[in-house]
Amino acid sequence: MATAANQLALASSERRSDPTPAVYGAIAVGISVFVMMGALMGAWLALKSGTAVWPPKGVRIENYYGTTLSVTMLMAVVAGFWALFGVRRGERSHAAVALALVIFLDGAFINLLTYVVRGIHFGPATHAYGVMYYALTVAVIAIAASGIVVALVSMARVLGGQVTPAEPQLGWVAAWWGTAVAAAWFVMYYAVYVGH
Amino acid sequence: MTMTASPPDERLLAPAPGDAASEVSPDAPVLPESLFTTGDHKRLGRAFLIMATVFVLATSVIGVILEIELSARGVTIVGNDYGRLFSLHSTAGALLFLPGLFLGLAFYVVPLQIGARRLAFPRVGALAFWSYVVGGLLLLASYTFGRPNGMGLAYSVAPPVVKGVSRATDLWVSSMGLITVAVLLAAVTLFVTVLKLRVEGMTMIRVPAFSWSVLVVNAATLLSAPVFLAGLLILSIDQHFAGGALSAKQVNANLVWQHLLWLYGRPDVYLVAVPSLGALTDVVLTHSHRRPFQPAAAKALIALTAVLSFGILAANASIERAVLIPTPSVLSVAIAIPIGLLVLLWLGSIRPAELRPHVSLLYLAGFVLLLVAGAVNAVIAPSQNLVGGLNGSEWTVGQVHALLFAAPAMAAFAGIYHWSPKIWGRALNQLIGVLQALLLLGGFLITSLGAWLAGYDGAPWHVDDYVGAKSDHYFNYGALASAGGVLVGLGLLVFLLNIGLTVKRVRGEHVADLLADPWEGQTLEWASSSPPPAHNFDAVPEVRSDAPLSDRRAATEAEVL
Repeated sequence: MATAANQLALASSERRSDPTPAVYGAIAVGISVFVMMGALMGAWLALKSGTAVWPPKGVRIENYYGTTLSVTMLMAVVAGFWALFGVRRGERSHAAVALALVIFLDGAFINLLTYVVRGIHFGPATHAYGVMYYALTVAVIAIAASGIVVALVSMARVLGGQVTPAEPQLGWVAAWWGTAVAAAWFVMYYAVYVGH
Repeated sequence: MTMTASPPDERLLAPAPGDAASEVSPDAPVLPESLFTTGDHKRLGRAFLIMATVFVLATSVIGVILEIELSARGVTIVGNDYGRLFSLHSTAGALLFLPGLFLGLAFYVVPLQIGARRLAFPRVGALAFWSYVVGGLLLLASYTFGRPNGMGLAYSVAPPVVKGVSRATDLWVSSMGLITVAVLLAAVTLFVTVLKLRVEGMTMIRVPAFSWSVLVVNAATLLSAPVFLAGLLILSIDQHFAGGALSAKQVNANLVWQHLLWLYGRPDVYLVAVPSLGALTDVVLTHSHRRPFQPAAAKALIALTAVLSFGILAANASIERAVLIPTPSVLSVAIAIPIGLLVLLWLGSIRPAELRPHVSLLYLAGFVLLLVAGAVNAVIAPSQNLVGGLNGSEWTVGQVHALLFAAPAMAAFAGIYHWSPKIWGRALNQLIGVLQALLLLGGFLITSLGAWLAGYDGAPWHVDDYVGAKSDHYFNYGALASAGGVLVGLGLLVFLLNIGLTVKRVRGEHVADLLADPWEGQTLEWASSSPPPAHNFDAVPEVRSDAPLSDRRAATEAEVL
C-alpha cells in the first residue's frame, strides 16, 4: 500500500533536468499550427483558381500595412532570440526586457491588423474571398495572442529566477514560438499581399 | 529484484496537480480536490471512459429512433428532422464515443506503461477533458435549438447551404471546434508523454504496443485535426455572416469543403483502428503469457496502419462507389494488409497450453469476426451492383457500423476489461463481461446485417421513409437493424452496471488485499498496486527488455533457486 513515507523511497521515472517536454510540446503545437495555416492557404488557392482575381473589384489592399506588419513580426522574432541569448548567458534583465519587447510588438501587430480589418471595407458576406480573408485574420490574431501568453509566462518565470542558463527551456519555447507566430503571419501575407 | 537506484528527487515526487497524494502532503493545496481541479491522469482517464459511455448511450438511443422510423410505413417520430438527427447520430458516434474511450484508456494506462508519474502536461490533459465534455454537450444541445443550416453538416459531402445566422449552426460548429481542440490538446500531451517521459532503459522498441499505438495515432492526429479546425473556422464565418465561400454557386467550393472535411474525417474514422491494434496486442501477449513476438514488426504494422489511413483520402466520398473504382479501392483495401498481418502475429504469439482464458479475448474474437464480416461484404459488394440513392446505399451504413464503429468498440472494451484491475482497483466481473460481449457482438452484427441486406436489395440511405415496390422489404431490414440497436444499448447498460458493482465491491475491501498483477503481466503498469498510488510507482523496475516484469519474475526465481 502506498504511504507518504514510501513515496520518497525510490526514484521517480522522470529526471528533473530533462529539458525537452516543454520544447517538444511547443514543436507539436507548432506543427499543428502550420498544418492549419496550410489548410487555410490551400482553401484560399482553391477559391482563387476557380473564381475572379484577388483582390475583388472595389477592394484596395494597401501594401504599406502588409509590409509594416511583416517588419513588426520580424522585430518580434529578433527580440525573442535576444531573450533566449539573455537567458543562456544568465542576463536576467536582458531576457526580461527582450520578452517585454516581444509582448509589446505582438500587441502592436494585433492592434495594426485589427485596424487594417476595420478599414478594408468589405465583410465576409461581400465576396467569397471575404470569408477566407476573415478566417486567415482570426487564425493569425489567435496565434499572435498565444505568442503574447507564452512570452508573458516566460517573462514571469525569468523574473522569478525559474528560467536560468541551467534550465533555459522556456526561453527556447518563447523564441521558437515567436518564430512560429511570424511564420503563420507570412502565410497570410503571401496570400493577401503577395499573391495578387 | 532489481530496482532503479538513482537518488530520489523530492520536487518530482511532489504530487501532480490535484492528485490524491495531496491529501497526505503538508503542502496540500487550499482548493478541495475534485474532478474540476485535478490533473491526475488516472482520474481524467476514468472520467473520459464514463463520459464516452454516456455519450454513446445517447447516440444509441438516437440510432434506435432512426431505425424504428424505417421499420414500418408511416412511422413518424422525427419526421422532417430525420436528416439532422441522422447527422447528429453519426457525428456523436464518430467523434464522441470511440475517441473518448481510447483517450480514457490512453490517459490512464500510458503513463503507467512507460513508467512515468504523470502526463507531460497534466493541466493540458484536464483542459482536453473539459473541452471534450462541453463540446459533446453542446453538440447534443444544438439539436434542440432548431435546424442547423444544411442537412448534414457532419459528414455531408455537399457544402452546407448558407442561410444566414442560426443559433443551432453556431452551436454545432462551436461544439465541433471544442471537440477538435480537445483531441488536439490530448494528442499533444500524450505524444510528448510517450516521447519524453519514458523510464530509463525503455527504448522506443521496448515501449509496450498500446503506448506505441498512442504515440503513432497522436502524431497522425496532430497532422490531420488542424485541417478540420481550419475548415470549421471557414464554415463558422461563412455560416454566421452568410458568406459565399461555401456556396454552391462558388466554383471549387465543393472541393474546398470536401477536402477540409475529409482530410480529417477520412483518417479519423480509420485512425481509431490504431489504438485498437495496440490494445489488442497487449491483451494477447499478457493472456498468452508470451514475450512479445516480433515486437519491431508489430510496431511497424501499427505505424503502417496509421500511414495508410491517410491514403483513404483518395477514396470516393461514397464507400460503395469506392469499391468499384480501382485506385481508391486499392488504397481503401491496403489498410487491411497491416491489420491482417498483425492478426497473424497475434495468432503466432498464442500457445494454447499457456493461454489463460479471459473475457478480453472474447472481445478480441469479436473484433476479428467483425473485420472478417466487413471484408467479406466488401468483396461481395462489387458483384451486387449497388444502386442506392443520391447519397449512396444503405450498405454503407452496415459497413460503417461493422468496420469503423463496432470493431474498434470491441477492441476498446477488450482493453477496458484487461486493464480494469488498474482502473477500478479490481477486475470487472468476467461473467457480466461475457454477457456484455455477446450483447454487443450480436447487436452490432444484427444492425449491420439489416443494413447490408437492405443495401443489397437496393435501399438508399439518408431517407426518412421508403417508397416503391420493395419498401416492405426495406422496412423488415429496418426492424432487424432496430433490434440490433436495442441489443447494443443493453450491452452498454450492462457495462455501466458492471462498473457500478465493481466500484461498490472495492469500497468494502482493504486496499492491500487487492492484487497488483492478477494476470502476471509483462509491462510496467502491472508493477504498481491496483489501483496505483497517486505517484504511480513506489519503485519502477529496471527495464532491460520489452517484458520487464517477466525479467523480474525470472530474476526472483533464480534468486530462490
